[in-house]
Amino acid sequence: MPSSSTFTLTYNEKLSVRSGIKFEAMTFIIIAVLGYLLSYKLTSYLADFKVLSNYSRLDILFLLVCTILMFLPMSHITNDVKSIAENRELAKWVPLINKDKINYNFGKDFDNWFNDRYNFRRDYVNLYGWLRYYFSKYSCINNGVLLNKQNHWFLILKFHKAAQKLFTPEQQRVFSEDIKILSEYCDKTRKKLYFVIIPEKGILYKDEIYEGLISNPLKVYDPVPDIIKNVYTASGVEILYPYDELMKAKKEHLVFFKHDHHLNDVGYLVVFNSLIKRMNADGVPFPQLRECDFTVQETNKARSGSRFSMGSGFCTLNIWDETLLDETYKFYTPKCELPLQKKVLIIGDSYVNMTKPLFFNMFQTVDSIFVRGLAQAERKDVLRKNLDLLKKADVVVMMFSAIQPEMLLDMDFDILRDARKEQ
Amino acid sequence: MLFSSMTFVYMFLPIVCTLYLISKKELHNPILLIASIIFYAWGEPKYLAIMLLTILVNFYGAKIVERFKETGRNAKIPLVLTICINLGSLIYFKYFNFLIENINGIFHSHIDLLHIVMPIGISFYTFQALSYVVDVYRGECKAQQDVYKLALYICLFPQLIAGPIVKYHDVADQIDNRDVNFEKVVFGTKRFIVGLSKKMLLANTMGAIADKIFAQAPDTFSPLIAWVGSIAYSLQLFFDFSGYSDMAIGLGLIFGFHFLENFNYPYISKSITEFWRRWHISLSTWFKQYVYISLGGNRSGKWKTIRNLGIVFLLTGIWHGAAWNFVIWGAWNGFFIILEKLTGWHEEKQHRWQRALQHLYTILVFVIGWVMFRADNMAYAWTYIKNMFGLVKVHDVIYALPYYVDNFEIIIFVAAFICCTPLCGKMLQQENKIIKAFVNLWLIVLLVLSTATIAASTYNPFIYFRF
Repeated sequence: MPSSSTFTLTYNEKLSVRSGIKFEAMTFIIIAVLGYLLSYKLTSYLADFKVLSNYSRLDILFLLVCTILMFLPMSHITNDVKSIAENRELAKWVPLINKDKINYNFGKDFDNWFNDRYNFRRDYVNLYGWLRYYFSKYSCINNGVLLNKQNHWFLILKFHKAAQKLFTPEQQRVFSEDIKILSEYCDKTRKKLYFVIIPEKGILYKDEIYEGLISNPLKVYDPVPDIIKNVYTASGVEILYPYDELMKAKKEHLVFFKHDHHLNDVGYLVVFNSLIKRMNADGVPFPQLRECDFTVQETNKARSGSRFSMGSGFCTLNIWDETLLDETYKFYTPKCELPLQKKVLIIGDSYVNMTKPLFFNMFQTVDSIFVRGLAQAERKDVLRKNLDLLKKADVVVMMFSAIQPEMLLDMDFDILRDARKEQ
Repeated sequence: MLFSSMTFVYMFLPIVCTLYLISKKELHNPILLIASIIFYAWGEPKYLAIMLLTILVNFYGAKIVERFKETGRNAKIPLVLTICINLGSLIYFKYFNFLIENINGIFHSHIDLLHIVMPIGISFYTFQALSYVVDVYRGECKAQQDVYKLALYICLFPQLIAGPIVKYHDVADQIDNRDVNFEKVVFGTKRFIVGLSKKMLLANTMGAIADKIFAQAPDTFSPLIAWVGSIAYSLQLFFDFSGYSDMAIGLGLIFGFHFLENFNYPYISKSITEFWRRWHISLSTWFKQYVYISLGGNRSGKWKTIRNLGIVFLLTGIWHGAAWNFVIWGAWNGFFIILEKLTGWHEEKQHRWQRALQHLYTILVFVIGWVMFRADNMAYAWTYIKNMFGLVKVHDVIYALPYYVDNFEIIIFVAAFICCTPLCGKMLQQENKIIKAFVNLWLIVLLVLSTATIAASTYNPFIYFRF
C-alpha cells in the first residue's frame, strides 16, 4: 500500500498514461458481424413494422417477457467463492483446455459452474422452497430432509436410511475383526476400551418426526441392538448403546436438536453418564454428573450445536418460517473439575466434539481423533498417524453415531497388530 | 445437454435463438448444425465420433443405394449393408452386455461383460438414419447430396436425444426450405414452456412419489399405495416423454420446422390398439412403416398379421431397453393388440357403459404394463401387481399414505389428471383475447415455476453442519 502522502501525490498528478486497450482482430470481427446482423435484422423488422403491427399485441408482450426472463439468469454471474446458505464452496470455472489438455468434462464442469452462479438463483430457489413449504404438511427439501411442519421436527433422510441399513453381514464381520484387534491391543497395553454408538435421531424420535406418516412406528427398524449382539459374539467387545437412557430422558427434555441430527447438551450428558456408569463397573471411580455441576445457559435461538447464535441449519434448509426458532435449549458449561490422573483418547465423529468438554471434568488430559471430514484414504491412515496418542492413553473411547457407519470400516486397524508387538 | 437444465434453457437456447433469428436464411442450417454438435458433445464428447460416423455411413450408403437403383443393379445389397452397420452399432452399444448375460445364464459360461457406455440418443438417431436410407431405397425421396444437410437431419438438437423420431420424408423439404415467422416463434415458445412444465412440475413430482413407493419391497405397502405408485409412474412416464416431445416440437417451430405430433392423449384410449395410435406415435409409425409393412403387414392373412404384430411389439419392447422386463412389456402389449384384433374389442361401442368398460380395461392393461416397465425385475413386478389386487399378504407396513403423497403432490396429481385429457389442449390456439391473455400469463408463471424447480435441483446444501 502506498503511504498517504504518496497516494495524494499520485492522485493529484495529471493522468498521463495512455490507454492500454489493444486491437484484437477476433473481437473486432465478432462485434462487426454481430453488429451487422443485428442492424440488418432490426432494419428489416422496422421496415415490416406494419406487418408486425398486425400480430397479436398479447403475443408480442408474451414473447418480450419470455425473452427477458430467458436472458436474466446469464445477465450476471456471481464471483463468490462460497455459498453461506448452502454451507459449501461453489463450483469453479474449469476451461475447455486445462493445463494443455482437453477437458472432456467441460460440459459437466460448465453446468456445475453455471448452476451455482447464475443471476437470481437464490430467488428461484426460495420460490420453490416457499411453494413446497406452504403447500405441504410435511416438507421434503431436495429429497434429503423431511420436515414435520406441525411440530418443526426434521430428519435428514439420507442419514436415517443409512442408519436403517447399517452394516451388511460382511461389513459386520470386518467391523468385528477390527474391533477385536483394537480390544486385544488395549488388553495387552493395559488400556481400558469403551465403544459407544449413539442412537439415530429418527429411531429415538420416530413418533414426533413421522407423526401421521408412519402406520406402525414399531416397525421402524433399529438394526443396532442386533449388530451389537453379533459383534459381541464375534469379538467379545461390549458396545454401549444408551438408547434406553435417552428414551427415559426424552420424556422430560429434548435430547436432540429439533433442527439438527445431533444430540443437544442434555442428550450428551445422558450419554456421558451412561459411559461413567460403565467405567464405574470397571473400577474407575467417578460420580455421575448432574445439571448442578454446570453453568446453564438457555436460548431459543439455536437450531444446532454448531451455530449457537445463528442457527445455520434453518437457513440451509431454505425454510423461512420464524416459528422454527421458538424452542428453548440448555447449554452446559462445566464448573466442577475432579480430574483423575488418567489420560483419555476419544476417537469418533462430530458427536465426539460435543462431549469433549465433559471429558475434561474427568481426565487429566483429553486427546481426540476426529475422523469425520477426512477423505477415505486419510481416514484409513488415521490410526497410524495418531499412534502416539493411542500409546500414551490410559482409556480409549470410540464414540460414533449410527448414521455414518462407513467411517468405522474405512479405518485400518491392522497397524495395531504391529504396534502391539513393538510395545 | 438436457432440455431441463439451466444451461440449456438459460444459456444455450437464448444464444442459439438470437443468433438464428438475427442471421440470414443462408446461415440458418450452419448455425443449427454447429449448435446441434455442441449440444451433443456437451455431456459425452467422445461419442460424437460415433454419431458422425453414422452420418457418413448413411450418407454414402444412401448414395450407393440410389446409384444402384439408377443403374438397375440390386440396391438391396448396399441397403442391407447400411442397415446392418446401423443396427450393429446399436446392438453393440445397447444390447451386447444383455446378450452376454443371457448366454452366460443359459450355457453357464463366464464370458466377461464389457464396459460399454451407451451413447446418448443412439436409439433415436439410428432409427432416423435407417428411415433415411430406406426412404431413398423406396424412392420416397432423393439421396441428400449435401452431407451437412444430412448431418442436420440426423443430429438436429431439438429431437436428438429423446425424439420424436422424425422420418426423413417428413422433413426433407424443410431442411432445404423453411420459413421462420412470428407466429411460429410465439407458438413454438408456448409449446416449449408447456413441455418444460410437464417435465419439471408434473413428471418430476409424480416420479418422486413413484420412486418412494417402488423403493420399498412390493409386499410392504397396502394395495391402495400400490395403485398410487403405479398411477404416479404412469403419469410420470407420460408427462416426461410427452414433455420432451412438446419441447422438441416447440423448438422445431422456433427454427421453422414442423415435426409431427408424438402423443395424442393416450390415456383417454378405449383400447390398446387406440393407445398405440396415440402413444409415441413417431416410434409406432416407424415400426409400422419400416418393419410391419416390410414383413407384409396385414395383407398376407390373419396368422401372418398376428405374427407381424407379435414381432413388431417384441421389437418395440426391446427398443426401450436391454432387459427382459422390456421384452415382456412389449409382449404384453402385443398380446392385447392381437386379442383385440381377433375379438373386435377395439371397435367403437354404442352404449356409454360399454365405452366406460373399454376405457377401464385399457387403463388396467397399460398401468399393469408400466409396472413391468418400472420394476427392477419380473419377480418384483409380479409381487407388485399381485399386491395391487390384494393377492399378497402385506407385512411390515411402515409408512402411511401421507408419507408418499403430501398436499403439494395431491395438487400436482389433480393437475396431472386434468392435463391427461384434451380439456386444456386447445387453449394455446385460442384467439379470444381474454383467454389468450390468461393463457399467456399462465405460461409465464409456469416458466418461472419450472425454473424454480430446476434451480431447486441445483441447490445442494451441505446439510452436515460444521462441527
